[in-house]
Formats: sequence, C-alpha cells, structure tokens
Amino acid sequence: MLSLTRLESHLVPLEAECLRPDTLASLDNTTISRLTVWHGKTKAEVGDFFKVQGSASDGEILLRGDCSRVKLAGSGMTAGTLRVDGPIGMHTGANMRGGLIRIDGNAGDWLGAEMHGGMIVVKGNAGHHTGAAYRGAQRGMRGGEIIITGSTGDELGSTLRRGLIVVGGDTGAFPGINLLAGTIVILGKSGVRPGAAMRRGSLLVPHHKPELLPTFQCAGPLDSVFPALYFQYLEKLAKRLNLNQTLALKSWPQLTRYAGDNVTLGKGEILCPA
Amino acid sequence: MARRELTVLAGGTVYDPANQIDGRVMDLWMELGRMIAPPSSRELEESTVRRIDATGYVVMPGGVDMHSHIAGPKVNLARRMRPEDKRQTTPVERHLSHHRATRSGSTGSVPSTFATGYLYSGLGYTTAFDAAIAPLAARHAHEEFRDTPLIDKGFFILLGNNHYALSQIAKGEQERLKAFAGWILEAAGAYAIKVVNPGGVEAWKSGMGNIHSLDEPLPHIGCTARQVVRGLAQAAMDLGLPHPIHVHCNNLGLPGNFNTTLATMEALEGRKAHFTHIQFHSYGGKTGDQSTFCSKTAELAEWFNNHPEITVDVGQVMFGETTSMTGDGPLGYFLHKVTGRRWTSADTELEAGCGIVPITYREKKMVHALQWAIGLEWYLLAQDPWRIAMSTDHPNGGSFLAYPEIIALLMDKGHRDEALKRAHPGILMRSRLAELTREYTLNEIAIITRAAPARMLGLVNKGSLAPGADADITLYQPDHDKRRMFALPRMVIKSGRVVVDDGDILTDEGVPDSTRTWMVRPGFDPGALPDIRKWFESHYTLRFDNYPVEIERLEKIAALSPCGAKKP
Repeated sequence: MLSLTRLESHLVPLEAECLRPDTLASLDNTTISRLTVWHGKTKAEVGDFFKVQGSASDGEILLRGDCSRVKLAGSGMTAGTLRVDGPIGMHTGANMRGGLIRIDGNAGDWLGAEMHGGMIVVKGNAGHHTGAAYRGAQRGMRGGEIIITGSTGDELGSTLRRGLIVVGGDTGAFPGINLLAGTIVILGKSGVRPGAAMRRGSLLVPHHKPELLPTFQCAGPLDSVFPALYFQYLEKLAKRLNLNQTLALKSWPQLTRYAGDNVTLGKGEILCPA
Repeated sequence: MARRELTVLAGGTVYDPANQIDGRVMDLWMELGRMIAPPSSRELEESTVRRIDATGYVVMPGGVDMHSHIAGPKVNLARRMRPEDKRQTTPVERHLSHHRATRSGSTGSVPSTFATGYLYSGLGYTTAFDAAIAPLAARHAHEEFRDTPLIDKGFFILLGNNHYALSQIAKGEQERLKAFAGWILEAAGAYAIKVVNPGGVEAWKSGMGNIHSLDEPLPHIGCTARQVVRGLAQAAMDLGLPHPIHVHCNNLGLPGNFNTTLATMEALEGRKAHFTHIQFHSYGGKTGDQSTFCSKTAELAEWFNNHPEITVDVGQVMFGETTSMTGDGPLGYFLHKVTGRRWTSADTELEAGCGIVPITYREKKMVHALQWAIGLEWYLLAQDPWRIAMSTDHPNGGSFLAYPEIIALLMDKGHRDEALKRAHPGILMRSRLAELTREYTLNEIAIITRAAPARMLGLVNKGSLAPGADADITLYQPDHDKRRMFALPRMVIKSGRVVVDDGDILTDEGVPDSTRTWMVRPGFDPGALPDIRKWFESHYTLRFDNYPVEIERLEKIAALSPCGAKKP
C-alpha cells in the first residue's frame, strides 16, 4: 500500500488528478513524488505536499492528513483501491470507471460526478452534487454505486442515468433532479422537491414523506417485491462493507408510489410512506 | 539617417491569384507591415534586411474568413449555454515566457475570445468577419474584438428586421432608409449591412409566425421581404459600401427553400448582393416531408453562374458536434423542436432576434449527409472561384477548424469518394456529388480562402501580396495530405510580424496587439437625423446620444475601408 500523508493543510486547493491507484501502480516513489499537481494556478509536484511511503504496486493508496482541499483524487480511476483517512475535497472519484474509493471522513462536492462504474463508500457526509452530472451534460452518473452513511447536500444524483446511490442520512434540496434512470435510496429525510423533472428511475425515501411537487401523482400503495429485494441487497452490502453499525437499516414500511415528474415524461417514481 | 528595416521572405513558391501569380518561386519584400516592391541595390545599402528562408514552402496571402460568428452577445450566450462543450475540449493554456505570452482560453465549437484569435491564426487566417451583430450590441462586439488577438476583424450589422428600416421601406422612403443605413453603420462602427430572414424575425417576435414567401406582407408594418432586400441592396449601392448587402434568405433549412432563394436573387434585379451560407438555402422537397428532401444546387448554381453580380459563401456542414447560432429567431425555435435540445432565444429590442441550439451533424443521418453533400456541390458547380468563398458559417455548419478538411475534400476526388462511402447512401440519389470529378488546384484554394473573400468584401489590402497590401502571409509545408498541410501552417506573418512559427503562437508580452477592426464611414444626410432621433427617444431603452459607439474608442482600432471607390 502506498501511503500519502498531507504535510500541512492549506487554504489554496490542490488539484491532484494524478492520485489514482491504477496509474500509480506501475510507478516508483520517486516518480510519484514528481508527478504534477496544481496548487491554485501554480504548477507543483506531489512530493511538495505529501510524504510518500510504501509502494503502490498492490494497487492500493491511502491518503492521510487534512485532504479537505485536495481535489480530483481518484478521478477517472479504473481499478484498485483509494482509501482516505480523513476528509477529502471536491470531485473525488469523478468520472471513475472501476475500483473502490473508501473515505473515512467527509467528502466534498461533486463526489463521483459522472462516474461510470466502481464503488464509492463514505463513512461521513458528502457535499452537493454527489453523483451528479456536470453543468450542461446530457447524462450524469452512468453506473457504479455510491454509499454514504451520513447526509448529502443539494442536487444529489442529478441527471443520473444508471447505478445506485444510497444515503444513510438526509439530503439537501432537489435530490434526483432530472433523473433519467437508476435508483436513489434516502434512508433519512429527503430535501424539498425530490425528483424534479425526472423522466424515469426510482427515488426511495422509506422513512419520510417529502414535500412533493404538484406534478407528481399518487399511484396508490406499491404492490411489488422490488423494495424487499433492494432491502436485502442493501443489508448484504452493508455487511460486506462492514457498515452494519453506521448504515442504520431498519425495516421499511408499506410504500406508496408517486409517479412523475409530469412536466417531462412522467415515468419516474418516488416511493415513500403515504 | 535611420536605416530602413526590411524583411524578405525568400525563395517561396508563391500563390497570389489576385496578382495572377500561380506557383512562382520569388522573393517577397515587406516593410512596416506592408508589402513593398523589391528594393533597388541602393535602397538595400541603406537598409537592414531580415531574411526569412521560405525555400520549398507554399506561400499564400493570409486567409480571410468573410462569414463567421466570433463576437457579440449571441456568441457569448452560446459559450454560457454549453459548459459541457468547453469541458470536453482541450483548453488553450496560459504562457508567460518571453516570446510566448498567450492568455488562457477555452475551445470547442465556440472558443473564447483569445482562443479564437490564436486558433484562427494557427490555421493561417489573418482576417475574420463576424456576420451578425445587432447595432445595439456593437459596443459588446468591439470589446470582444479588442480581446481577439492576431487577426483583423470587422462585423456586419443586422438591418433586415430593424423597425425603423422596415417602416421607411413600407413608406417608400428610400432616401431616408439610405441615410439611416449610413448613420447606423457609422454609429456602430460596422462594415456592411446584413439581412437575416427579412421580415421573418420581426413577424416571429411579434407572435405572427414566420415569413415564408417574398410577397407576404408583415401585417403590422406593411412591407414585404422583397421590398426589404431590394431597398437595402439599393441603399448599400447608393452609399457605395465596399461590400454589398449580405443576405441570409427566408426559409433557411426548410425543404423546398431553393425557390425562395432563387426568387430573392431575382428580386434584386441586377443589384449587387452576397448570398451567405447558400448551402442552407439550396434544398428541394416538400415542407414537412423528409422523404422528398433533395439537392437543388444544380438549378441555383446555373443561375448563379450566369449572374456575375451575385457572390456566395457556402456554409459547409461538417460532421460532428457544434452549436448553431443565428439572428434568425424562428429558425432557432425550429431547430430546438427538431433536435429536442436546449435552446436560447433572445429579442434585441427593435433590431433583431437570436436563436442558439446545440446540434450534432451525423454522417449516417440522411438530412445531415445531404447538407454536407450540397455544400460540396456548391464548391464544385460554381464555375468562377472568384465568386464563392469558403465558410462553414462558423460555428453553424462546423468550426472554422474544419477548413483543412474541406480543402482536402475539394482537392482530392479519392478522399471525397471515401467520405461519400461513409455517409448515408440516400444522398447518392438526391445529389450529384458522386458524379462531380472536379478537383481544386492550389491556386483555386488560394482564391476561395483569401483572394475572393477579400475582393467580395472590398478589402483591397487583403488577399493580395502586391506592393502596398498588408503583409499578412501564410507559409505551408507542401504535403500530399492536404488536410495536414493546411491544418498546420509552417509560419504565419501578420502585418509583417511572425505570429505563428511551427505551431507556436509568438506574442511578446507587453507589445500591444496591432490588429485592427475594419469599418466604413459612408456618410449620410444629416437632415434625416431629427426624425431618427424622435423615433429613438420614443421607442428605445437607450438615449439617442448614448447610442453610437464612442468615436474615440473606435479611432484607436479602426481601419477604414473606402466607400464609393471603384473595386479592383
């Protein structure tokens, strides 16, 4: 395992898209220390900001120290494991294709934005635009899974196309805005206007009746095995990821289906208590 | 006495069609940003000579793009509307080293201002004109031009849907129309008059649909598209503008619109005019029935070939992702409905409209493939290269960065056949492209990319390497791959200074950009001003006195093109 320890925290953000386990695996530590990072508008090297120890050859990286202003870590990664012990900054795992990112701390905005595959697990909170589409993009996240034990900010999973996002806590406004397909599970409270302009896809809020937009229509109690199956899957997932304690899974009540958003296609659904 | 500083570009193979030089090996001399005659031996003794060896290179005047969209509010709106386009394309990085002080910028279908200058220059172009600026937005356009380095610029103003112009036309006040056109050209610091979908934009803005034929009167104003085109063409001629009216006909993009285009050409009754992005106006077929969509280039080109008063630029469609932007508001709405993609519409008070929609041209889609084929047909069927200019209507048909590919398609029938094989097979039935065997020569390419557009614009100092002309020169490395040859010029010289060397932009930090904005001062009858002022004060959001772009702002950058002068 390669360990990268942030030497000191700094207010100016560090753009470190080179920090991804798949490409670092084949590099020796001297080369890694010399990789380019951008400190604000200044070009710098990894070694200027991190103490580099161990070896990345096993495809595993551990980030330590205050990385709350380290951006783009694990972005575009295709394989391997990135562990973060502490907070991490914006765009972590953006456009990720495979592998695992595990964050024991809070994540910044745009976590897993437009990701295509792989898994991101956050033991803590995440910022705004988690698993979202970047501005102007026609499709957002296209595959993979994001599990957050804590809460998230606004516009969770905007324009999601495929994949699963699970939030243990609450979300900000507009979760699942522009949803195209895929599933979002919110175990705490959903923010206002969930699923605005969603075309297809499912938004599960099993323990809270959110404030729905008037363009959603009640379609009666849900008569489907799908939530039960999903619940089972989440239980297994929590066990596998060792999240039993943090991701509080209590059994889901009978859910009611709200169909929408009727300003667009209207084939999406919000499943929540009546 | 101070020694003169001369530069000689020695031993290049020169293509300068404006001066009947077709591939002659010769030396070119410049001084103070201008071409000069070869100096005598006595003059040489009194001079310091800088020698640039051009042996083996193809030398042409700098490229001139006469119809492009590179400044003003619509371009800016498009930049804002398409962040994903910016994100997916390689940005221009900032350089601070001594000879490479470039500013950062974004590229994509609508590059940022600085990037636009660098990209045009990197392509061997030294002049580009923006084709659609509402006079009200002239200040904005000038501000953006100030930040568009390395190329000379200019813009045309939209008058074909201007309330004052339309009402003068309706009243038959040709003299007042002429005075208004002269005044507003000066007020805006503009170069020529542009007409976009005459009357149609105004009709659409007023909730009355669109104008689909030349004789359909605008209900609330009373004039017809025929009167608008004729009146403004006459005004441009009477003012002696170096470039005649620049016409974007009604019914752009609709099947069967070639009838409208032909009727508009005929409506001019011998007056001079430039018909822009003619490709978009050359369609046969019935409205709403895609199966009937076909090319009518042959019919139009035959008429065109027999009418020397008409010039065109093509508006070639190239496959890929781009952004359409037009002063034709109803067209923007139409495209939005067809493509289902996001749309911006804007209404510029009493002057113009605007529509912006992202568009992806696909070679496997019949309509797009046919548009592509129709553009190429125009190049190949127009007999006189001096009356047809290369354009993609950047970024509507594609980026100006596609010019090298167009050149390759025109110069190489084999390359064209390969491209035809990849395109939708339906175009073989609907266009004549496959049977056209013409291949452009280097000389003809030099005509349609620099000499002809310069001549159409009336820019005597451009598109030519004769003594007195601007020292805007491009050097290409000869290559059988024409696309590569024209995509990466070996060297670009702007006003006598090397600005691109082997792909590197050379700009000295602290040296002000010496490029200029071309405009006209045709003069006008001041007796018409009180009426314009009265109308202004009662209808505009701006005071009449605040409307004209400050003369002192223009003085610094202006290059005046003479009006009323006889063309070369």
